[in-house]
Formats: sequence, structure tokens, C-alpha cells
Amino acid sequence: MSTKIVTARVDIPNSHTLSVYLEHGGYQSLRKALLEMTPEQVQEEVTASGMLGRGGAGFETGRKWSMLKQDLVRYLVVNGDESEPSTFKDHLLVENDPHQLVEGTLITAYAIGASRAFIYLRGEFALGLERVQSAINEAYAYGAIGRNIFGSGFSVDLVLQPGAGAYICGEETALIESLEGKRGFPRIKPPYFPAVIGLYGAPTIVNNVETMSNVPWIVKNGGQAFAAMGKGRSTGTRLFALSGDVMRPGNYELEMTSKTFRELIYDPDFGGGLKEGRSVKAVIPGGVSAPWIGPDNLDLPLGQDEVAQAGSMLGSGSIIVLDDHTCAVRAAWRITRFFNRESCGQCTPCREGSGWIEKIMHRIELGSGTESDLDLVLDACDNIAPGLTWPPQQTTICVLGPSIPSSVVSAIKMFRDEFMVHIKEEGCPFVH
Amino acid sequence: MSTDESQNLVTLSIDGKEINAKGGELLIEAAEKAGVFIPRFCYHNRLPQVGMCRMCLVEVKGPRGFSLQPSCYLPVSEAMEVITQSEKVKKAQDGILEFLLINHPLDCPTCDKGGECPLQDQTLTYGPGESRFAEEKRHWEKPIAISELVFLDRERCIQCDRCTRFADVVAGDALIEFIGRGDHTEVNVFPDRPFSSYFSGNTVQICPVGALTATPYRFKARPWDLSQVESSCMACSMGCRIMVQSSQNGLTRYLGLDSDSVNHGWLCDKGRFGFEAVNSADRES
Ligand SMILES: Cc1cc2nc3c(=O)[nH]c(=O)nc-3n(C[C@H](O)[C@H](O)[C@H](O)COP(=O)(O)O)c2cc1C
Ligand code: SF4
Ligand code: SF4
Ligand code: FES
Repeated sequence: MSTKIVTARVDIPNSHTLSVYLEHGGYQSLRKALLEMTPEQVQEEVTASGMLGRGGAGFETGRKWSMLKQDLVRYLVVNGDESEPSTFKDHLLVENDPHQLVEGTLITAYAIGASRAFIYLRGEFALGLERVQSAINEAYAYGAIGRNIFGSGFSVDLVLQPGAGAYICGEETALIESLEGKRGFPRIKPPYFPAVIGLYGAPTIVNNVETMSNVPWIVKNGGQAFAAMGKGRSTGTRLFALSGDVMRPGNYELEMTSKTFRELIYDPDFGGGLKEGRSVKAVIPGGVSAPWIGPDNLDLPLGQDEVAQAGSMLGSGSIIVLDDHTCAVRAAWRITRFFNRESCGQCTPCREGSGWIEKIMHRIELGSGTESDLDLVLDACDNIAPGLTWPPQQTTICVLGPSIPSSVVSAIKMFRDEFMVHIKEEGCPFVH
Repeated sequence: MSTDESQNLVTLSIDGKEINAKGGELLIEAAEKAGVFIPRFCYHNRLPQVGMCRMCLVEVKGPRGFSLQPSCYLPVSEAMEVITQSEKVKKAQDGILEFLLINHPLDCPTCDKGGECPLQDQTLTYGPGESRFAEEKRHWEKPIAISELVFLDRERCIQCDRCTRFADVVAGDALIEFIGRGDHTEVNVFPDRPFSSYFSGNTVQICPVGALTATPYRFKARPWDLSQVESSCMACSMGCRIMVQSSQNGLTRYLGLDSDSVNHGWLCDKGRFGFEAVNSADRES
């Protein structure tokens, strides 16, 4: 049985309540950090853990914290917007262990010297919002948030902010704009990294819910213990959200690199395999922004660099399995439609390109495409992500833009024959 | 940006040619002064830049080699290396122009902006002859009155944020905003709150396409038929600089002229539209 960090308590009845959390060692890490450690020591442990951010970009957490400009006012923002189709790992954590998230957030606020922290949670997480808010209320009453926490002299306030239904508000600078009460338009970078200019113009650290939820464990067990799990840059565990054509979709916390895609998909304790007689056609390894990988990559270990070397990304840790009864054209079209609907509309290539590509893909799927449409789609993609390289270049402001080509280009590259069948037979050969 | 830095001269290279510019100056401006015109839509020298239309992308050298960057957003710096004329830049700019045109109605013959429209001009200069867009264009009811003076045609809008930026940042009347997402992003007013700003006419002047038009000028003249003369507005004692335009012996339009010490190109609606009194049949003198 491999070590569970963030999901250690999720199956305990009433795991979301303070009493159960305290019974299972809750808020001991916060006490330890505040009473026995300096902020620098907490930062050192997190740096030593090597933990990469769990939100998608995979940036080293310790290094991000060290980049924070040391202005008098600093903020911490927790990103719980989780709105990418197939990404549902934070969902589990906010509903079933909200105190762990709150504790991690408070420890981080102490480590970076933030006097106010915000948890920005996807607006549709009705139960999650309720549970995080009651966890915050309980933690205030318990003395873990507010003035002079546990007599340490450290004070911090924690505010919960529901999102208003935009995927783009998960992009950290759009999230900051949204928190400020503005329309969720991503800011242009460089030069403005949130660690230099963030919320209300103050230096701000933005971290993902899962990233924060790992912090209490790291403080309790030490960064070395975390780094001892996994391999290379992939340390600790990750919560993989497995979905698609598997028998047992769900969230599985695994030590990084300890299992391969094949094991995650087929192991009866995890994915439980595919329906009788079916085989894996493609896997989308890191959320729908990621390029697809083929069945030849099933023996790759679930690690950051391993997946990057195969030309994709581990991203948000959500893994979608497409079996051989799934239409690649339809899947790619549906993903494009999502991006078109969620493009913030700010920059031309993403706003207009996503709509155009979606329309052509839909037309091909419905049977009125031509062979030259494929080159047209690829060229339109190229005008969003010049060169169609991985990692991508972009003509857009944020990386939602170059996420649009990921699925379309993968589908055309891997399943050109299937596109041709749609075109020649003037319709989709699959049953759906 | 410190004031020291902005007063320093820096040397950068544009297309292999060394030029001097004021540190902190925007690349698009420095290039223009050096005789290199970079196409643009959302950039406006009297507004904060947003880098949204992406038309002004050029290659700029960074730590990881050359990448496409918006020249309207990037301040120049010492030893900066810029390429404005490569295949990559050309492809990116052509791509943006094509993206802007796919949903554009191309109703230039009946559009008041025709003849003075940057989108039309750049399409004629650089654009492709044929459209590759075979789909149904985006449709909106056109045009809609967003105030007693201003009409908005969302089919023509290229979402450059000039009008909305002006209303918010310059006029302080954030009564028009972007609404919606994706390719259904539109400029509009809030329900039951018309664009009743004293400065609304400026948005019509700076709209780079014919999306915003003002009642007094709609369908009255063609830009190439206008005679014009520089003057000062007489509606109040400010003395804003204006361009007085006329057609067939009647006043048709006032435009604000950019005068550094007076009005930065802006006019109030009273000054801009007050000329209608001159033409009025009800005048006593
Ligand atoms: C379009 C888009 C959507 C994103 N959505 C999320 C999200 O829902 N949750 C999240 O944590 N990060 C999301 N990110 C990544 C964030 O910008 C940011 O990298 C992350 O929150 C940083 O946290 P981490 O370092 O802990 O991973 C998104 C990025 C993009 C470009
Ligand atoms: S790439 Fe898309 S989502 Fe990102 S800023 Fe541009 S329009 Fe908005
Ligand atoms: S109405 Fe005109 S100025 Fe306003 S965003 Fe559209 S194109 Fe730009
Ligand atoms: S002019 Fe630079 S992005 Fe629009």
C-alpha cells in the first residue's frame, strides 16, 4: 500500500468536520510551524520537498515562494477554480478534507508572510463552498485563524470567494482580476508575474488546492520524506483523476512515477481496465489542454518529465482514456467547443480561431468536410501556436490559446485515416 | 519604471538597423519614429495599452531566443533585438488579419467608416484576396442604439477594447463593457443603463471600424468627399482643437485633434455635436 498524503482522511465519516480532523492529528502541523519554526524554515522544508505545483504548470513551489517580492503587504491566493473537463481532484479535497486545505493555506501564509489569504473556489462547487466556509468558521472559533494564532504572534485572515462560472478564472492572473471584482481577463506576462505584481498590485503567491493540501504533511514529516517518494523532479504523490472509457473512473492518489499509465488504467484497484474486448486508442494525460498520447506510451511511468518527453504534459493530473469505440474527430471537436466557449474573448487568435476551428471540426464530424479542411485546420492552429511545437509558442496572451490546437493536432496526426473516412463516407462511422 | 530610466537613451536594433529611443518608450512608437510602421488596431497613444488585438506582434529576442511579442505593450530596453519583417512575423500578422475578418460582415459599401477604416486599409494592403472561411458568420442585431447619439453594430466590432477603455479610463463612465465569452464576446451596455456619457462621441472617433457610429453623421457623407479645416471648438472656453469637416456646403462632422496641451484628441459631446445648431433650420441669424 503506497503512502497517501492528501487523501489519507477522505474516506473517514465526517472527515470534513473539525472534530474528526483534530482526532486525526489536524492542526498539529500549523502549531509546529508557528511555534517551533521560522517562516524561513517552513520555506526550506517545502523547497527540500521538491514539490511541483499541482495546478497544471508544474512550477516548483519552493522556488515560487522564494520569488515573492518582499513588500510590506503580500497575499496568498489558493486556486480552486478547477473547471477543466475531466479534472476533478480538487473537488474531492475541498469536499472531504477542507480543514487540510485550510491548514496548508495558513502554514503557507505564515511561510511567505501574507496577512490575508483567499481561497477562490469554483462557483459550481455548492457542497465544497459550504464545507470550506464552515471549515473556515470552525478554524476561526478554534483559534487557528485570526489574531495571534495559538499565541504565536502571527495573524492572518482567510476569505472564501466563489467563482462565477468561467474556466478562464483558473488562469492565475485572470483569477486575480476576478478577485479584484473585474472581468476575468488574463494579464499580459511578462513582465507582471503575480509574485511581483499580483492582487491589488501587491506581491501574491497563487497555488493550487492540492499543492496547499500537501503542505501540512510536509511540515509534519519533513521535506526529505516527501522528496524520497517518486523520482527525479516528480516527488511526493499525485492525485490522478482518471476518467473516460475505464471501468472504475475516479480519483487515485499514487506515489509519483510508481505506476505506469497501463497499471493505472488496468489495475483492478484503480481503473479496472476497459470494457470487454476494447483497447486503448489514445490517452489525454493532463487535462484537455494536453496533446494526446498513443497506446505505445502506456508503459510510461506517471511522472512529470516522463510525460513531457513523450510530447505532452502531466498538467493537472487528469487522465482521460479513449477506447477504440470512441470517435477521435468527435472527441477533438468537443474539446475545441469547450475552449471556444471558455475563451475569455480578449485576444483575436483565441477568440476567433477557436470558433473557426470548432466549426470546421464539427462540419467534418457531421460529414461535410473536405480533405483540404484538414490543412486549413492545421494552418489555423499554426496561427495560434506558431510551429505547432510542444511546448507551444503562442500568438495569444495566455496559454488557453495554444491549448486549442493540442487535441485537434493530435487527432489529425494520430487518426488521419479516421478523418478521411468521415470525409469519404460523408458522416461519422461511430455509434454514439 | 523609474523616471531616470525613461529619460535615458537606449540603443536597440530593429531589423538589423541600430536605432536610439527613449528608455521605457513603447516599441511600436520607437519603431514608428525610426520609420518602421507596425500594423495595429487596439493600440492608441492616449490610452493605456492592453495588447489585445495581437496585430502588432513582432519577434523580440529573449533569454530563450526570439519569440512573438506585442510591440504596443513592450517598452524598449538597451540592446533589445527586434525583427519586424520575417516570415514568422508576416504569417502571424496575416493570421490575425484573417481571424479578424472571418466574422466581419464586409459591408464596407454601406459602412460610414469605409474610406477611413484601418481594417479596410490593412486588408487591402496586406490581406489575402480570397476568404478561406466557409462557415456561417456570427450574427447580431444591427445596429442597436446604446444611447440617443451612439449606435453599435456588433457584427463589425473587432473587440479592440478602445471604446470600453476610453469610457472607463478617460471619461470615467464605465457604461459600456465586454459581455460574454469566446467568439460571442460583445461590447454592450448594461440593462436599463444607456451609454449616457458626456464624452460618448470620442468612442465613435477612435473605433477602428464602423462598429460605433453617431446619429449626426450616419449616412451623411463619405470621408473622401469631405473638405476639412483645423480650428478650435467654441462651445466653451477650453479651446479644444478640432477638425471641422464639411460636405456640400454644410457642416458634417467635428473630430478632436490631438493637442498635447489642451485636449489629447478628445471632445465633449456638446462640442462635438453642437455644430448641428449651425445647420439648423430653426436658427434665427
Ligand atoms: C486556462 C487555464 C486554466 C487554469 N485553471 C486552473 C485551475 O482551475 N486550478 C489551478 O490550480 N490552476 C489552474 N491553472 C494554472 C494556474 O494558472 C497556476 O499555474 C496555478 O494555479 C499555480 O498553482 P501551483 O503552482 O500550485 O500549480 C490554469 C491555467 C490556465 C492557463
Ligand atoms: S488566449 Fe484566449 S483565454 Fe487567453 S487571454 Fe487570449 S482570448 Fe483570453
Ligand atoms: S466597438 Fe469599436 S472601439 Fe469598441 S471594441 Fe468594437 S471595434 Fe473596438
Ligand atoms: S496593437 Fe498591439 S496588440 Fe493590438
